[in-house]
Amino acid sequence: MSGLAVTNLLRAPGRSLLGALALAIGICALTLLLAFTLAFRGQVVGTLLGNAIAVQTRPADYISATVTVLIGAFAVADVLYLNIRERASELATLRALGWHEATLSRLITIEGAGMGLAGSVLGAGAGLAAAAVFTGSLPPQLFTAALVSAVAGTLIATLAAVLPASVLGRLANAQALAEE
Amino acid sequence: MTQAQPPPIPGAAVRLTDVTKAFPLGGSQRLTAVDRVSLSVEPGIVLAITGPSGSGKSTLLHLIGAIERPDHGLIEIHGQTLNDLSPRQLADYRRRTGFVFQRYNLLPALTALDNVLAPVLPYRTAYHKIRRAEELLARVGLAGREPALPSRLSGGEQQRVAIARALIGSPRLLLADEPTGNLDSSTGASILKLLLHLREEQGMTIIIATHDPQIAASADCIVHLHDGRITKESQAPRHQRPAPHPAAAPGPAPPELSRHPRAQG
Repeated sequence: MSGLAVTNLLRAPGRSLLGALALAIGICALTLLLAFTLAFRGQVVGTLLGNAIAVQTRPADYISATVTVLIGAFAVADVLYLNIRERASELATLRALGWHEATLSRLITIEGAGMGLAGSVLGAGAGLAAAAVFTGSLPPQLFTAALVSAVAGTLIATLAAVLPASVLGRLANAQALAEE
Repeated sequence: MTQAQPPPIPGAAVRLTDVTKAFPLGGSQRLTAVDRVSLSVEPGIVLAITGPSGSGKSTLLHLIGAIERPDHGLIEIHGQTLNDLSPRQLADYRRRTGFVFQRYNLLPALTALDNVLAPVLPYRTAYHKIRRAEELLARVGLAGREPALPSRLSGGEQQRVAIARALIGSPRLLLADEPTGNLDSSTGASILKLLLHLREEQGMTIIIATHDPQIAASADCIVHLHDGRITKESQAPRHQRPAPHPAAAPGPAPPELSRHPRAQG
């Protein structure tokens, strides 16, 4: 079923990429903040441009990054919702062929997880690279920060997929089958 | 016209009793697609449901296939009452029942082989799924076409894939909604031949909704629908009907196929 989920995501690659990128922005910011907190105790002073840069993480930064991640997760949910509307006849066909509701929901959730994983890996990678550029080094804590962000992003996107998956039950069978 | 309940046929493959299904039209209006239909179908026969567009043929098939649930009435399949089943049990029933759609309803992103596998894709089976799907494709004349996407198949080939898909669960009941409706006459004839061959081979009960007089003429029994009601029933003379297949559900042979006192011309 994972193969089918990936195939479905690749059918509208631009849309899937947009969803993933929307999540990646927040994950990138979160990775940077975590990196600074874990590797430099929340403070980076004078590395990239002599002593010109001083970055200090604050709670407000975390709130902003979290909100950005949540907006990204909603973007993932929105992409999945559009996909479901477009594929209503296919999903109705699978239901008519004997798929359980829970199995259909799992398919959508796996698609959300796939998009979330792609966005999280992109965002965490970008955050890791930016942190390395800022600090001029790659201490192990940076990788921990990237991993934590990527896992969090994937989980949040997977949870967000529950929203569009809940729409499945409201698809009218006969009408959706006829829309093929 | 009122429709009396059908006399019970022991071991009937399908029995509908006073089944009604209506759809909302907006506001308080409702369209009654199937109106108090009662019907019994003997195992191992081919039943054609005919009637004009909008007469309720597809809805009746959807009700028998548990794609839709009735507003009223009983649906029994091989002695099991669908009304009593949970959504999960209904899904299991749908997986065991073959359904062929007029527009094939193949999944465009999947190959022919994966389309045949689609009903059982996420589930464990007692048989080797891929081998069985390959065998079914070969049986419908599509050996070697396993990797083809639906967009690379002709209409007839797509319908053959859809028939192979309907057979993956070894159904005792096959429902076909206008299976030749989108095909030219020669391709339609070959699809009909395939369906009849499958009935001979496996003894399954086949119910076909059709406009096609050729299909209707090939059926053992014809039910004519109009405005959601059965207005006429007829059947092939006894000597023209095939001998019951051993695979058909056992049970005392009914005296008549499904002729009810309510049948009206």
